Amino acid sequence: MGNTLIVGRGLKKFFEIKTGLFSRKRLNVKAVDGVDITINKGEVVGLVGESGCGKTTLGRLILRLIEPTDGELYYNPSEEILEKIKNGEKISQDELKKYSIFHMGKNDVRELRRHMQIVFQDPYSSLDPRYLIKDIIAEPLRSFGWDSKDAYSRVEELLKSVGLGPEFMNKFPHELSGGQRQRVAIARALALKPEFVVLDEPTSALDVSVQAQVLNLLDDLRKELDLTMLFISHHILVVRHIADRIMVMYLGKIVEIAETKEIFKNPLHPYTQALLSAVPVPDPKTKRMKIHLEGEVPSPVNPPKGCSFHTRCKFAFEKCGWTANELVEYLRLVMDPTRNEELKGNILDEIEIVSDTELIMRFKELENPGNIRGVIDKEKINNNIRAFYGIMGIEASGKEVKIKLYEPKVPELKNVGNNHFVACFLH
Amino acid sequence: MFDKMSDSWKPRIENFKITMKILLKSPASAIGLIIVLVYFIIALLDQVDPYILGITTNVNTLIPNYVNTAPQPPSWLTNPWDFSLPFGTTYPGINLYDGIIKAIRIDIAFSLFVVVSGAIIGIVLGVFSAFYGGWFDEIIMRLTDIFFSIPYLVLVIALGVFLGRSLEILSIGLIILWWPIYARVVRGQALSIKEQTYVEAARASGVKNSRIIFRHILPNTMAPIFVQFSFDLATIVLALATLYFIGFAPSNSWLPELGFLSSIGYEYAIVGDWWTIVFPGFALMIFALGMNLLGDGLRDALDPRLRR
Repeated sequence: MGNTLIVGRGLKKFFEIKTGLFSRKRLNVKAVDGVDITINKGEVVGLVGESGCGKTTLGRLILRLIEPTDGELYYNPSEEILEKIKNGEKISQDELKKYSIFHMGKNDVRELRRHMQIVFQDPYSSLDPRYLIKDIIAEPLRSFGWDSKDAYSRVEELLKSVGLGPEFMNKFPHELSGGQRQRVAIARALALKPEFVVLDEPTSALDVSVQAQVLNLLDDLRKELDLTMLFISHHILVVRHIADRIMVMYLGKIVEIAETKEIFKNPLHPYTQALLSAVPVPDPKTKRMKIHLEGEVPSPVNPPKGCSFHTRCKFAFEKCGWTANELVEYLRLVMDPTRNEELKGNILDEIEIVSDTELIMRFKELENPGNIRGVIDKEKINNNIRAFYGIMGIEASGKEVKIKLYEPKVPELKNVGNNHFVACFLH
Repeated sequence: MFDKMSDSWKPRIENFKITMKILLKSPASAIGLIIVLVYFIIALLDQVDPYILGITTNVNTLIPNYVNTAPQPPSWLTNPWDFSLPFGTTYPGINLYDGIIKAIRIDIAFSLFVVVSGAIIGIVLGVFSAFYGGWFDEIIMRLTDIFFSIPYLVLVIALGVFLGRSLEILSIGLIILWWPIYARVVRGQALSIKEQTYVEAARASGVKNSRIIFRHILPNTMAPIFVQFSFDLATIVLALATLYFIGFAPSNSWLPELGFLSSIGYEYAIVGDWWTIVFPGFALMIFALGMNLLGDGLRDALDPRLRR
């Protein structure tokens, strides 16, 4: 191939939070939880997902601006490495230290910064308020040993290429507008002529009209300089404008990857469908089904088992990874004889969670154990309590009813043809 | 080339002008600035050429006059046009005008030395402990806790007892006690600055840690340091005066110092020679007041929320 610029396998970043007295309890926020990523040369990959799903963390991870928890990541990997990754062979420690961005020494990473750059979301905080614009843009040049005369003439060139005049050289960031600042940030990122640029929501802090200008600028620069980009955004339309391929992220995992046209034409993952249905269409006559996502994004500290989207998914079924914890509340609700008359004579005492896949309902009195299954099925269909799809078997013995669930399995990204990958049991 | 230089200075001068404008907007801080300037100019002139100020002796000590030890009143009390002894004399026959002028220079120099040394130590330790964190941070912060719990009078007097009562020992004692405040202020600021995106952007640009610390984090923590600095300049002068007033000075010392000047004549002040304590006392008080007014003004002028 020789065409692959960035390959990452099993990228993970957990943030540790300490709670409790004297920080005894340690919890992990799973911001990025096992992501595989491949970016080809000259390609623009869009990364979309709602806020808090870990897309910014992933962007920073790729540049190793934050220390990874696990995984390996290669910049411009050799054929040999690519072959090994493809065949799932183990890569030796020596090779990891030499090639993987996550394993190499600080100085090697610093060298790589010549080739990989980033534009941050907020242009108000990404420029040092005490630096002149020319010094901000010259900083990467100076740190790689350019002398000031060469650096400043390059700065002038760069300012021109992002559409700003030389009069901006001697200004402070606070004298500039948001759009102008973001142009400065872009100029800084391009100063070292990098091959790969991460754009971390570069337009979301800007006015809509300015957004379009900045997007067009990025599009022009990309064609002119033959850049490879990872474009992060929560706005799928912004990404559509510029990306060749789109990755959809949910709770630290990639749920769908496809080419831009394909994903808009044929979104497969229910989450992607929901994202797309939220996009406003400028034609008032178009009627579409809107998919409203219910509930909050689950906490990344304790993400749902199985497919992490199943708690909000309209199509969730048996295999999606329901756990006993999620069922308890629904069971309490449903087992009430005032709600379901069939259950008259059954008085629920307590529900014990044995494991993720097993729970026991204890009754004080159990007159019609036979009706329990019927009630659960009825509620499942009539009231759309999807959690009940996860029930594999119900057994009654004495005054106890044992409920078994399907083993939660995590969906893998599967190729469904056309280079369209989706992590969903439906496909 | 020269043009380019002046171009890049222009916005910086512009910034300085804004600071001055905000500072001078409030009359209190304008008065503070004037007082401080006057004191510093007096100290500088005395250093360069004391004859300009009408002082005829070029020595670093007070000159007692044992022929006529009793305090003499200011000359303008008897003859309104006679300024030969503007502040009178104090026991034992010391010309207060000479003494106060020399004392202002000594006090400011001593205070600057202590505060600058303390600030440099504190700033460096503070910024490193914020940047690297971990056990280094923990040690530095517990050290500051310890030093905060020691009253400065007690420590300095104890040091004086064991190591001798000299100006050097005194300055060491005060420096030991004055760096922790800077370490804390800088650390607090640096902790928030290091999370700013521009620091991350610098790292992404391949900037090395030392440059990030000294060129990005430190300059952005300076505003509260300047404020603290101006308050401490006054505090150290007061501390030195306090120590000399309560008799910390070596017994044979004739060091011109405002606290010492107040202490040697105060017995005469009780019996009616008010000028022996009023003039050195006021010189001290007005300096402390000016420094504090300036510090308050600086706090406002350097506040980024008021600048935009």
